[in-house]
Amino acid sequence: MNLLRVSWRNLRHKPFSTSVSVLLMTLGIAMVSLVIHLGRQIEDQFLKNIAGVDMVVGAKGSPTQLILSSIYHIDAPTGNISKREVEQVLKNPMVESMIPLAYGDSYKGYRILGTTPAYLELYQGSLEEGRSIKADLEVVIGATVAERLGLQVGSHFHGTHGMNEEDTEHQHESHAYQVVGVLERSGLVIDQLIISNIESVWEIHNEHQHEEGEEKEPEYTAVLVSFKNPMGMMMVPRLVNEKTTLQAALPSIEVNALIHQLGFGISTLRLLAILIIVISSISVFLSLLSKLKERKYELALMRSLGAHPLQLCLLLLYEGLLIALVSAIAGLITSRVLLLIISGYIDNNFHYTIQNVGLVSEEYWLFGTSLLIALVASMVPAIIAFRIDISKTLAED
Amino acid sequence: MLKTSDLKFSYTPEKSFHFPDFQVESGDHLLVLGKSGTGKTTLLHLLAGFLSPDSGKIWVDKTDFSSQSGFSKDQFRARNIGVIFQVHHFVASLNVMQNIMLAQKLAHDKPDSHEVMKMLTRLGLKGRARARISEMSQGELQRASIIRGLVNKPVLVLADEPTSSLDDDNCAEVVKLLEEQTARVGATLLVVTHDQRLKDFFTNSIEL
Repeated sequence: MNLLRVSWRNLRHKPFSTSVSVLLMTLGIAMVSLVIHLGRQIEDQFLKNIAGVDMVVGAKGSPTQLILSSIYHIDAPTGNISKREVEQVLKNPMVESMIPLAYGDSYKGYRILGTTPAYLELYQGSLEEGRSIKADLEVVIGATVAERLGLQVGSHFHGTHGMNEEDTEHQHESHAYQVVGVLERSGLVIDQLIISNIESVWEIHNEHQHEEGEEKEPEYTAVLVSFKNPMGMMMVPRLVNEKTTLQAALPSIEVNALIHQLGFGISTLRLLAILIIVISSISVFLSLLSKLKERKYELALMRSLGAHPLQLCLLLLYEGLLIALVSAIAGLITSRVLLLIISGYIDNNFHYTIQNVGLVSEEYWLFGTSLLIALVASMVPAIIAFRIDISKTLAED
Repeated sequence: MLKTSDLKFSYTPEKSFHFPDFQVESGDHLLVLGKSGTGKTTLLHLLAGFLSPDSGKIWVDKTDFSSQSGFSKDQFRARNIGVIFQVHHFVASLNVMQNIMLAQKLAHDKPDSHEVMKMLTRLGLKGRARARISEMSQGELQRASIIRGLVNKPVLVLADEPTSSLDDDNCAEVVKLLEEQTARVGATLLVVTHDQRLKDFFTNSIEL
């Protein structure tokens, strides 16, 4: 019968009060861990996908919307812009490169993006299977698209106009896309995309316009720009915004603002979770303290049998620590289960996959802090146990 | 052997005790009789080392027990003195067997389940070894208490009011049990009580 086992049995002897403490602490730890992970994922996803893009040029509208649609592909585009106008304004010595994007169709909720080979270079996308695009209506698909839609090299499909998944009326019947390549999984937005060349998008939509009897000049949805030096970031956006009908938005600024706003929500959640952990440690404290009253004879008895006061102290500290240990493990497991559930939800609604659900460094801290808080909570009961007077306690009955 | 000389203890200046000197040889028995308020419990706590005397000495087996302090006193008690309390306190979360083995463990003896089982069998508690404390009757708890007091083979056994709540038959039985079991380990037995019936069972007695 070593002390740790006595502590363990003491906890099991009072299943109700032990469960309440464990449940509360598990909840708090699970929430903190969840918030840590979601915060990390959001920041990670947002920052990783900016890649080397310094500026996005698109139609006037909300700059956040422009960034969300053209970099993260999770919002509707702000509109189309004239190829001629954008090329003119970007004929600037400070511009290093520009990658045009043209949206048109989608297939079963996944976007078909018309762009140039430079787009895949930007995300260092490499082919797992097949080859790169050589002709119109050929597409290369992201790993998630391939997996979810069961497409492979050689598959054919018809795109749907816009992002409507169910809308079969607007299918472009005459034009079938052909999959020529599948990309390796990258953990970036390209996993979620169907990529064609720009001309494919134009061809399909010009035909639309022809039907309506109107000739149109080529258009882009947005252009991703990188600069040769930081001066470009200072000068060009202002130029675009003031002198043209186009809009320039800087991903770094918009994303920081976005993370800042989300961050507020996240830190509120984190505060709430920490509050729950504190409440749970108060519950540990109160339950140890209230049990102390009925256990003082037991403790005096153990002293009379030769237990050192420090051993009684340890007995109570162990009880607090065991509760924290069980809760921390249960909390981390719970947060993983919740992450998987949330991941499924995000996947279905935003085509984003949460990666890396392993332990992160903050969670080691969380683990240690929980143990520490429990230790502090059991300190007072432990000190009372330490100072118990054998003679007085045993003479009291 | 147990010997005291000039033992004094006071809680407050008004409530102080001066105990008569006595000596009990190894293996002998002594009955300490006293009405309530005469310091019975105080004397027992002094002899067990739960309290330290203001003055005077206690020798247990040639060791000046009263001059020891702190943890060495606790350890000396754990190894040499078995205390059987009036109220049968046990660790509620442990079963009977585990409680007795805890006494071995805390005295830094190797827990010996075989020995504990033998003692339980001898006192008719074999079937109750794994019983919860809350499932035990008072009589069973008293016997378990006696086993716990004797499990570390002490040289001195102190029993506090072992018979006060028992009828005459059970009273005689418990005294017999205490005498038998202390004789087995060759311990000195000292019983502190207000129960006048016990006079008939002890040859040596003092009155407080």
